Amino acid sequence: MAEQKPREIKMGRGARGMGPRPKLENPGRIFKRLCAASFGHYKLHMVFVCLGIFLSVLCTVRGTLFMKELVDVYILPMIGQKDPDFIPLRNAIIRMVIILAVGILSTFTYNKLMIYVSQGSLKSIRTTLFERMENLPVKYFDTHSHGDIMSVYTNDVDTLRQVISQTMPQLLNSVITVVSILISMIALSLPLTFVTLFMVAVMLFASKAVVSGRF
Amino acid sequence: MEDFDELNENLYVSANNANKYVNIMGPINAQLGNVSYVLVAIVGAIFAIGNFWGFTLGSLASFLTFNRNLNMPINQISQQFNTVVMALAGADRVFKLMDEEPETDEGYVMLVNAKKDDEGNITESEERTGLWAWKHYHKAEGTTTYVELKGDVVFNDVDFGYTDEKIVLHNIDIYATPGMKIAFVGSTGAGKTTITNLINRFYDIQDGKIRYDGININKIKKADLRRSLGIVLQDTHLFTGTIKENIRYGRLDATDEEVVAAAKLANAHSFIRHLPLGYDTVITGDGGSLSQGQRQLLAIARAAIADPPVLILDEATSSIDTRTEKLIQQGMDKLMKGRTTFVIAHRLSTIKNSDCIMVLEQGRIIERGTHEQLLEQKGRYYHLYTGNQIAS
Ligand SMILES: Nc1ncnc2c1ncn2[C@@H]1O[C@H](COP(=O)(O)OP(=O)(O)OP(=O)(O)O)[C@@H](O)[C@H]1O
Ligand SMILES: [Mg+2]
Repeated sequence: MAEQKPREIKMGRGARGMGPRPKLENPGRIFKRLCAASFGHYKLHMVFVCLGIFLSVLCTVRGTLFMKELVDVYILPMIGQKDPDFIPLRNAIIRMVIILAVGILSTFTYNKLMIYVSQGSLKSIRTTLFERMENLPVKYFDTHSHGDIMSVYTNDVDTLRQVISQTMPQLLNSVITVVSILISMIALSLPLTFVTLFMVAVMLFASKAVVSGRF
Repeated sequence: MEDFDELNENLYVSANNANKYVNIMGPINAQLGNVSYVLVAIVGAIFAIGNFWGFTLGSLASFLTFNRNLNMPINQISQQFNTVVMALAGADRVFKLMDEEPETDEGYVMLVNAKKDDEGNITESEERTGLWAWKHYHKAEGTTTYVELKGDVVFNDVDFGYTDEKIVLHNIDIYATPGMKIAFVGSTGAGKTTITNLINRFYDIQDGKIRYDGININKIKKADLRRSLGIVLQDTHLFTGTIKENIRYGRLDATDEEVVAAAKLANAHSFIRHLPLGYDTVITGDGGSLSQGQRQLLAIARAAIADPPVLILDEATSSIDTRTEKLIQQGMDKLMKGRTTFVIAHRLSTIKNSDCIMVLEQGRIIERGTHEQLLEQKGRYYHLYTGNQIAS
C-alpha cells in the first residue's frame, strides 16, 4: 500500500545446491520444526514410509546375498555332475523373484505415500504462510522488498517441496543402505571390509581436496 | 548495475565450482571405485582359493557387488545432507515470515450504520442509511455513545519516526474541520506521505495525539478507520478482473448503477465506454494495458464509490498529458466536494484553492495559510510558486 522507497538492492536466492553453506543460528531447531510442520500431521504415514524404505533396502541386500547362495549351493556343486537337479535352483530363484518384487512394491508404495504427505504438508505451509502474511502490518512490506517476500513463496517453498518429498527419504535410504551393506560385508569378510573402507576413505579425501580447490 | 555484475560474478564462481565438482569428481570417483573393485577382487580371490575364514567364491561374488553398491550411497549422503542444510535456510525464511508479529489492533470503537431521530439523537441501524456513526463503548461507565462520522481530523503536537533513532516528523499540528481541503507541499523526503501513513495508522505515532471526530484514533478499530478513509495513491494497483470489479473493489456491495455513477464522477466513464467491452473489459497484470492517467481515473472512481468522509490524494509525480491531467483534476475536484481532503501536491496549480496549505521541510511545518497569505509572506512557498511558474 504505502509507496516503495528505493532501498538497497537485494537479489533472490541463487540456484539451489550451489555456493557456500549458509550460516544458520540453530539448524537443529529449524530441522525439528521443519519435520514437525511436514510430518506432524502424517505420523502414521511416516511410519509406513520408514518401514517401506527399510524393507526396500533389505530386499536389495538380500538379493545381493543371494549371489553367494547361488554360486556356493546351486552352481559349484553341480559343475561336473552328470544329471544335475535344477528343481532346488528353480525354487530359490522363485523365492528371489518374490523378495525383489516385495522390494519394488515397497519402494513404489513409500514414494507414493511421500508424494501424498509432502503435497498435503506443503499446502498447509503455504496456506499458513499466506494467512499470516495477510495480517502483517504495512511496516513489514515497507521494510522488506516484494522480491524477497515473493522468493519465499517461489524459491524457498519449492526447495522445501523437493527436500520433503525427495531428499529426506533418499537420505534415510542412503544411510540405511550404507549401514546394511556394511553389516553384510563384515559378515562376509572383515579383512575385505577394511580394504573397501580404506578405498572409501581415499575417495572422500580426494573429494575434499578437489572442493577446497587444490586442483 | 555494479551490484548486479558482482552478484552475477558470485553466481558464476559458485556455479563453476559446482561444475568443477561434478566434472572432475565424477571421473576420479569412478576410477577410485574401479581400483577398489579390482583390489577386492584380487585379495578376495586369494581368500577364496585358500578358503581362508570360510570365504567362498560365492562370498566373493556377493562382496564385489556390495563393494560396487556402497560407493553410490556414500557419495550421495554428503550431497543429500548438503541439500537438506541448504533447504534449512529456506525453511528458516519461511518460518521467520510465519513468525512475524501480526498487526495488532486494540481499537474498539466501531463504525456502524446510523439513524438520526427528530431530536438529532443518533441510534444504530441495521440497514445502510448513508449516515455513519462511531460506536464508542465506555468501559468505565459501561455506556455506549454514538458520534456522527464527519471527517474532523486533528493532529496535536505529533512526533514520529520510522525508527527510534531518526525522527521524521516534529511537532505537527493540523486542524481539519469537515469539508476542508488541506494541502501539503514540500521537497521530496519532507514527510508528506508519512503524515498520511499516520492518519490511516499504517504506523503509530511516538508522541502527541491524532483525533478523528474527537476520538483518539488509537481507540478506533483499524479496519473501520480505513473504511472511513479514501486513499488515492501515487501509483494505482489494479488486479486481474473486469473494470467493473476493479471499481467495485472500493465498496464490494455496490450495484452496477453505482459503479457507473462513480466512474462518471471520476471522469472515467468516457474512456471506459470506448474500451471494447466497456465496463466488462478484463484488465490483466496490474492494468499494464491502461495508461497511467486512466489508472488514476479508476483509482478515483474506486474512492468515489466508497464515499468516504475523508480523502487522501497523493498526486502522481509522473507526467501525464495535459488533457488527462485536466480530467483527473476535475475528477478529484468533484470527489473532494463535501469531504475533508488531504492533498499532496506536486503541481502547485492544483492546490491554489485549498483552505490551508502546509509547507513541510524536514519534517516540520514551516509555513501555513491560504495561497494568498503564503504569497504575501514571501517565504518558502512564494519561492516555490514563482519558481514553479517560471519553469512551466
Ligand atoms: N518505510 C520507511 N522506513 C524508514 N524511513 C522512511 C520510510 N518511508 C519514508 N522514510 C523516510 O521518511 C522521510 C519522509 O519520507 P516521505 O515519504 O514522507 O517523504 P515525501 O514528502 O512523501 O516525499 P515525496 O515527495 O518524494 O513523496 C524520508 O527521509 C524518508 O527517507
Ligand atoms: Mg510521497
